[in-house]
Amino acid sequence: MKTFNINKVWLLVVFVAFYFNSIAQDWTVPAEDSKKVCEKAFTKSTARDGKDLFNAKCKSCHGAVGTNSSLPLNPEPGDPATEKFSKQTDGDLFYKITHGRGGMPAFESQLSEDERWKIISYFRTFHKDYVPANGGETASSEPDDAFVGKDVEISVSLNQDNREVTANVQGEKDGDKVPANGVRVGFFVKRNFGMLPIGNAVTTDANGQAKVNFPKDLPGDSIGNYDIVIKLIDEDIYGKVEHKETVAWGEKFIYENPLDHRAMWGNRTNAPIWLLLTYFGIVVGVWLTIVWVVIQMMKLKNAN
Amino acid sequence: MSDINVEKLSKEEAKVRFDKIADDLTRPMTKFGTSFQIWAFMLFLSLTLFGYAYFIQVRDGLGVTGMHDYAAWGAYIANFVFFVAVALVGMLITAVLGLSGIKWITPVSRIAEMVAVAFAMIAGLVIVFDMGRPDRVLNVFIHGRVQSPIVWDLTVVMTYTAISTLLLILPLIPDMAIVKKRLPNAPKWQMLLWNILSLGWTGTPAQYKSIHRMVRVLAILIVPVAMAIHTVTSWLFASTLRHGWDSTIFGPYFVTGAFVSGVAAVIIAMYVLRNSYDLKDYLTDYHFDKIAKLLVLVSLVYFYFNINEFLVPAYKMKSGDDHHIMALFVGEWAGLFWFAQFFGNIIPIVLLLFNRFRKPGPMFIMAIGVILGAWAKRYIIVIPTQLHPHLPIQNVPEAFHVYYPTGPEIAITLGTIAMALTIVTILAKVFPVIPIWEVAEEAGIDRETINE
Repeated sequence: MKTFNINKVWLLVVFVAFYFNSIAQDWTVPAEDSKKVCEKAFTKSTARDGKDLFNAKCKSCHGAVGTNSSLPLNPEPGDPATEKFSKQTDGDLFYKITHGRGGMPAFESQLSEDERWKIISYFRTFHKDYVPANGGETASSEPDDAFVGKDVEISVSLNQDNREVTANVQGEKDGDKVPANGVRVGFFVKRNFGMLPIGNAVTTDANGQAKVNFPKDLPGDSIGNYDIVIKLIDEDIYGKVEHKETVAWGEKFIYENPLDHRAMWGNRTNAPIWLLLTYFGIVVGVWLTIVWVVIQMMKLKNAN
Repeated sequence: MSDINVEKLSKEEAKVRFDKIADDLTRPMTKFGTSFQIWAFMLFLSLTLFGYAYFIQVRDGLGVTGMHDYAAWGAYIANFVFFVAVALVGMLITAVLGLSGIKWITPVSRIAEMVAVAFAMIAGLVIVFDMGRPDRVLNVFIHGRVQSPIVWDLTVVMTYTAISTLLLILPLIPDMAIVKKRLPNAPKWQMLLWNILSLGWTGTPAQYKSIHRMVRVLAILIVPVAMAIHTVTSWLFASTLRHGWDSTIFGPYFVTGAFVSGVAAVIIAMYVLRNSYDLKDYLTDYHFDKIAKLLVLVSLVYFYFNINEFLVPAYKMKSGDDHHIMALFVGEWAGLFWFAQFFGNIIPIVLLLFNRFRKPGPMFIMAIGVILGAWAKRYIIVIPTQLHPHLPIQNVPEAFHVYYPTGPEIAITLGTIAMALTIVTILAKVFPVIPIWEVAEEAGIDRETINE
């Protein structure tokens, strides 16, 4: 592999930076697209979904919204809570997410239209002067039916008959321990690597409860056990709150080590029977003949 | 043993004739002329260089060779295949031709067995010299898997060496009795050796019958064993998926190639012995003519397998195979490839069709060419394939893209050849290279005279 000239690369970067900088401020959107609005209203729920989508797909370059931690690229992606974004129309934002530019991918094929609008609805919760087009509510950065308090905890009760898991979320508000409503709870099964989500995140009701039914056919270990994890999704609001349990709801999974079977690629004690018979049969047969010859040679003197 | 009908000899005539034969054929064992001394010195030199080179290799590891990540099998493995190939000549001459009742092999068979035994013995060692940690060779025995071609290879090489040794010793027994009486002034250890190996031979009909039977059994047994030895060696390559090795016909391809190199080795031995020890009456032009025709036969069969091995992939030019074929035929390996094909295969076929070349002198030169071509052919089989693997060689130092044997590697390789030649030399000095009793029987001498 030829080594490349690093100086030439830096020169190229500088030229590209100047070029892109000159057009960085001018990402114009066609007039028609600029006027586009979402048919559905922006609600707290759409904003919440938009937050999840943004964190999954956009946070890597734009940084968490409201934290000004966008990557120092050129052109800079920017924090969506800033004026750069708030001064654009819904249609502008929709167009730019859909088609992308340069380092920003075109999310047309990755996100449905609905999902793209939800992301925009999430941005709008940070834009104070925003007037929603469809009469949706202007929300604060968190949906205000979400519980606000401290020392939020989960306790869990299990119904063994129908594999139902109930999470009871409580928090301290104004000095009292109260059920926490509007909190998103995720239910997971522990895997070898990572976790398997069961259903979508469930929001606690007024009693601070969220329920999920675990499916019947999840594979467990050799006796049918697996570990479940119940945790609050919005770690940035409530911190890391989770609860683990071991349940016996899984199908028994007996791991068969391939090395335990007889095979050509197996270890020495697991050689195929036919091969063992062939090899030792030949070796024994041939060497017995050789030994016979040697014995005959020893008897040669007295051959009569 | 003999159905050559000569006139019935009188007792005196038989004795005279037998004396001449015995004297002629024991002379090589007692003569230590200048040329032998030069030869012995060259062998000694090569072995010394080997000793030093091997010491360097054991001390500093296999990094002193040209082998790297990609060409992890180099000259040593090519050498190993070459050794196993040459060792097969014992089976060819003794078993295939012997069992077929071919008569002209009488003076040649022991030379062939000596070559076979020597090369088979050293073949196993060649592999150990390829190991950076030779002590780990014990692991093959302790932890070996019967599924592995390497375990089979070891088993078959040991078995073949054992059978070949017996096939060398058995027809030697009557000669041991003769030599004991003919060379009473031989050193004590040699006398002891002859005594032991003569196994109390007195020449009774029962003893002749016993030897005949044992040789026959072993000759039949050695055919599948010898086929196995080189087929299993070929499967060390053919059981992989690499371009150039992933071939179904490697077994017969290697075996027929082995016959070519083995016959060439025997021709060289015949010529050297004939000239050094004035054995022109025993290794006659007739014998050279016959073995030349044998060489043409095995070369033609090998040529046929070469065509199959190269023409079929060349027709298809499968991706991967195409680079390999092009590299061999017109690319970076073309020089070595065509050298191997011409000298190792085509020239013997063409030239030996003509009477003029089926003479000892020209055949000796040609046989050297065949041996060099054969060694080059093994090199061509082992190395180029490793240098174009399925995934392109990348992100490694330049040195990993090529393979050249280094000084120590060459010294060790030549040393192993010297070892095999040393064994042949010693065997030719300790035992009569041409079977005295068989030649005598063919000359019409009765068994009583031979064995008294």
